[in-house]
Amino acid sequence: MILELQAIGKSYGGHAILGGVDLHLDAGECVRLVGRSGLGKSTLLEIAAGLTPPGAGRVVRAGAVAMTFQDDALLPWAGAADNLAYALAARPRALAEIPAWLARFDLPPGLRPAEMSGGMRRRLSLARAFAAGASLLLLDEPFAFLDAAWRARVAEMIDEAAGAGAAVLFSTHQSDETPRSCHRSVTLADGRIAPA
Amino acid sequence: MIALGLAAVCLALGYAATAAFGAAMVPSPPEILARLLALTLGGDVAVEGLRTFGRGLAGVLVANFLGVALGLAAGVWPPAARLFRPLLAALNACPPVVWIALAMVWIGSGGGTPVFAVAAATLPPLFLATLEGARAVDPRLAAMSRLYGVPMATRLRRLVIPTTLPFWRAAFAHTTAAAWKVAAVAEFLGSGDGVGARIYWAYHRLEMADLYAWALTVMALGVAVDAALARTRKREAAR
Repeated sequence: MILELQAIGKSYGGHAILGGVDLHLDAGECVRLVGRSGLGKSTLLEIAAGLTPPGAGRVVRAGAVAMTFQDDALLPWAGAADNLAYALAARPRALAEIPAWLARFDLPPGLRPAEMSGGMRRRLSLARAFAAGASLLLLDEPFAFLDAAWRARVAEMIDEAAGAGAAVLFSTHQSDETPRSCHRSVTLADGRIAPA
Repeated sequence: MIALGLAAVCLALGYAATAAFGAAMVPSPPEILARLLALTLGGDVAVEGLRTFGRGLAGVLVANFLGVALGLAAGVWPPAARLFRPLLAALNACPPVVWIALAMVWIGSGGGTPVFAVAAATLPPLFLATLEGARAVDPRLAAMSRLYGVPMATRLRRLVIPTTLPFWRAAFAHTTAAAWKVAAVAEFLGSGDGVGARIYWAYHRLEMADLYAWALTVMALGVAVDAALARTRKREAAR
């Protein structure tokens, strides 16, 4: 088991967003979290990452977590390489692989987020998550802002990560490219998870 | 053209003041300018000006060292903010004359008094600006840093300090401009040399031409410091 969400609940301003979400992910498993915008997918991913405390329920994680954020959360004053170096500062061995990850995502090392397109920023955010080599990958709308070719390549990378033993949970609000390794889709509706 | 017009207006006002109050109280503009020229050519303006400027700079550097270190510590560690913030906010409300009086008691008259007074007067605004800057870190970037386990030293260097810089720059410009004025007042009250002390002695001995010449020197140096800071701000804004 890499991630176990047990009866997760969360309310904002008295309005229940999540009302008893259960989800289980094993190593090498990929799960696609589907749902319309504003229904709590990002909140659920942040709870799974440990960034937001759940209002109710329990989160159990095993191993390191990497995540992409809906707003990408990139250092605005740092170039692409420095953004990766910052996030990987605690993993000296991963630092040596930064040029390879930048090449893989076709990102110029010195380009800053403000000089990038939305797609490039999303690719940098994804490069950071993949480069971390975490056992749990939480990807918030990983295909947003990407063209068809990049969506297909990112789907391949998700397959690779799952093949290497990582558990992947990614959210989407539309019918995106689906990685081959994602055999399970779940839908978030009315604050609960249902098989898609 | 505007400068010439302004000089003519100042000269006219000077002559009018001499006529109204008498040459013993307000020497004529040529007498003041002749004294200013003598003090400048004799090296007094440069020596005393640099001395006062150096004391202001030394005080503001000490305040920067302490204010930035305490501000960053308080920004990243809430218990330090709870400890230092009320204290520094209270100190921020103290007029510089309080520090000057205390420095004269603790240190005695001399060069240490203006340095201490400037450091004490500029430390609180530098601390508060750094604290506000450190607290302005984007919560999403802070969350990302936690998630990826970025070490605290790296967070400080690559996230907190760059966020704090604009806040610190504004406080630095403000305190550097104020430092010069506080140093001159501290010298007036508690030092034997420097521009402020020369004003004190001119006033004490009723050497009115000297008094006005030094007053003009203080004004000119103040304008030079403000202009240098404005030019630096402009250059940074253009970058």
